[in-house]
Amino acid sequence: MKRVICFITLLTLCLSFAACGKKNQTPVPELEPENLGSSSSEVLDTKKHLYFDEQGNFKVMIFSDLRVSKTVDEKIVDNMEDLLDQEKPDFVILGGDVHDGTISNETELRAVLDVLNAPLEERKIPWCHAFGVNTEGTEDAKTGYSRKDQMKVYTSYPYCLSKTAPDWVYGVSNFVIPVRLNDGDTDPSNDKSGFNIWCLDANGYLNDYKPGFEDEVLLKNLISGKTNLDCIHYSQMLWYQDTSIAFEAYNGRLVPGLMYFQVPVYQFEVIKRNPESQKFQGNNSSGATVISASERESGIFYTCYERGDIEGIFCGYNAENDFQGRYLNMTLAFCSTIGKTKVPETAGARVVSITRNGLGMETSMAYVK
Amino acid sequence: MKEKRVIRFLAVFVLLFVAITATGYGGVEATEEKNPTYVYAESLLKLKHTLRFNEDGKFRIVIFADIQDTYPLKEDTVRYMNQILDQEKPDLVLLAGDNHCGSLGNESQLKTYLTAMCEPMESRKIPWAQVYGNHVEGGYKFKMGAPGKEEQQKIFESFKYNVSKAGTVYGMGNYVLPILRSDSDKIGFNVFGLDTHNYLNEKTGTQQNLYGQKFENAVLVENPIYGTLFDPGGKYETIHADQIRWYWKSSLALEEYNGSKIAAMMFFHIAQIEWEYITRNPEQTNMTGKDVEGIWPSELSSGLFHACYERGDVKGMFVGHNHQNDFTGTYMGIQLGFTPTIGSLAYFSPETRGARVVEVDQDDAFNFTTRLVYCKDLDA
Repeated sequence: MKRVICFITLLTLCLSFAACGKKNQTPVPELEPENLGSSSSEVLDTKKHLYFDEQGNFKVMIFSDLRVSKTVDEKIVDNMEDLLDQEKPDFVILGGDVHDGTISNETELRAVLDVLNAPLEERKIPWCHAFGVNTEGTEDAKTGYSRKDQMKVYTSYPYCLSKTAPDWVYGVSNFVIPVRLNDGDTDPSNDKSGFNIWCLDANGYLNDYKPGFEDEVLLKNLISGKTNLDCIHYSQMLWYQDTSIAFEAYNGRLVPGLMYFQVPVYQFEVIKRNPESQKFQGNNSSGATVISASERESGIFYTCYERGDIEGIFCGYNAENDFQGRYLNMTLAFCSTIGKTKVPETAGARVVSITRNGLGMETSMAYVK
Repeated sequence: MKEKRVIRFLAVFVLLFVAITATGYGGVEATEEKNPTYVYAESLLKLKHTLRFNEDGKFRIVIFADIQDTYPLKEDTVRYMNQILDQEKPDLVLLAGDNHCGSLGNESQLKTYLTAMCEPMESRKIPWAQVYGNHVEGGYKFKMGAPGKEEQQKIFESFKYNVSKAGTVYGMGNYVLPILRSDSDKIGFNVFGLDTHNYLNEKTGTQQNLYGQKFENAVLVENPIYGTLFDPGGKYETIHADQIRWYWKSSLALEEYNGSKIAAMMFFHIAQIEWEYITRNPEQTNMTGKDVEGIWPSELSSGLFHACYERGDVKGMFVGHNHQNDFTGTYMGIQLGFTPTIGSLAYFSPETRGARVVEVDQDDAFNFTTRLVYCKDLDA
């Protein structure tokens, strides 16, 4: 009898263990960011928090391609201060080639940034930067002063909110800065984003990716006109999509935003070639017959369109261009420079006015008087 | 008494151990969570028929493009398919889209047609898979009432040797076919199939309500950037960003699972703009074959080519759609090629009508080779 009881008990135990194992089989995970990418709580975090004002407005100013040398022309700082006092932005992007590629160490960079950022730091205006193609030297003369090391200097300034995406993302200045909704709640951990400011690293020249890359990409007969500039890499686009999806999940809806990267996408040509239908406005003064897009079609324009959260793509590089237009429900806008320019008429900064807690966006140029 | 208890205790332990080992579920494993990447990779590895390299380490694929027929099928098309399969004895057959002309009005008609169309593969027990073209439910601005892609996929999968999958991203038939090595269960080669969809005005998804039937006008402005280069100029939908994202993450998950990078090829229906580099630079790209029609990519480029370049696994991409093109060339280390049509109901050229063969060696999978088999040579 005892043996029988013992046997039954054992059998039951064994079966229950086996069943238990089956129940605990892991289900196939979805390809979602929480499993294979970044999560929203990380990306919402910035050094200082940006908020819409009580009317639901927020103003961004983009100073693109200042391209200063080891000594900063005082006129740039004067012009910057004038425009800041005139526009009173809530946030500033120093886009593209902040310096011209001659800065080769921390002392030099700090000396330049101390002067350039003074107008922002003194006015307590939070700002960020997005690297341009000349960050680590010019096309032919590399300084060996890396983006990562330069990033450390930038982020050492109290009002600089620039960040770095995870290591698997190509480039260094890839980040998103949310403009938080004023929900009347004092606890920032409950905040939701009303508008996202995305910056992507423009990367460098083709040969900066690897030696000989230019010969690999630029064949004799090209499609979009020859530039030896690199494009946005796929890992950057993947990070943007994953992060955008994480924001959508966290907010319960798509979060509108703008995106800045230095080298223009080829789709700016659509605006230029179809001025009437695409609401072309401004100047195409860089003199080039074709805008300086990378020969590589990264697909970033289409990717933003498909995600549906980017209201405007802002670029520089052709620093005398300030035109803007509309294509596929997005604004494409050049940001001209206030620094050295062959066309003084276009010297200025781009102003992006975000209204209705992120649901409205308009942009115009503020020119140097 | 005590001894008996101890023995009983021991017996329980031994029996439990045996039972757990036999059922394959360790008590510890059962409670511990499995690496989600591995679970995901395992889900990709599940195919109706396991694909494996032959004993000699070789694997041969035949691609048929644009059969684009209706019922009853043209006698010569089926005959050529049979002849090619007998000659090449492939391990896998891929159908590169427009597998019927889109005029088959209902499920039973389509099933009758497909039964005849896949008979060459089914009767030889050769696993086969299809991607979709732009003639799925009709053609440009005309629909012929064929069942939707979901129903079509179900019919395709109902055939015993069809190994395609519906997929989880935009479109239908986005999947990977991992081919295992002959000497182990490691993956030796991946074949990715993607949907290139129909026409711009048929685009669905988040942006659908924005433009609806006017999407083509919104995209193809008077002076488009890519469309002007090509005839008829970019009216096709593009590969979606979520498909590329799926490819990247799947490729990465399989690599992690495998412990090493896996060589791959991709097949889909419509060429991307990068194919234009081949025809414009025949010498630099070692172009072989004919460019009779030019290429007809979408005006919207989603960047699939550069994503594949950066991932570094896909070394060849093969399309159909332009029935008379059969060229290949290599741009940035990736072979971009056409498979000419095998069919004869729609337009074709007697010079190029045929199929593409891809031959992979598991020990040199990144350097797979490809060649054409022409129908005109089968007649000789």
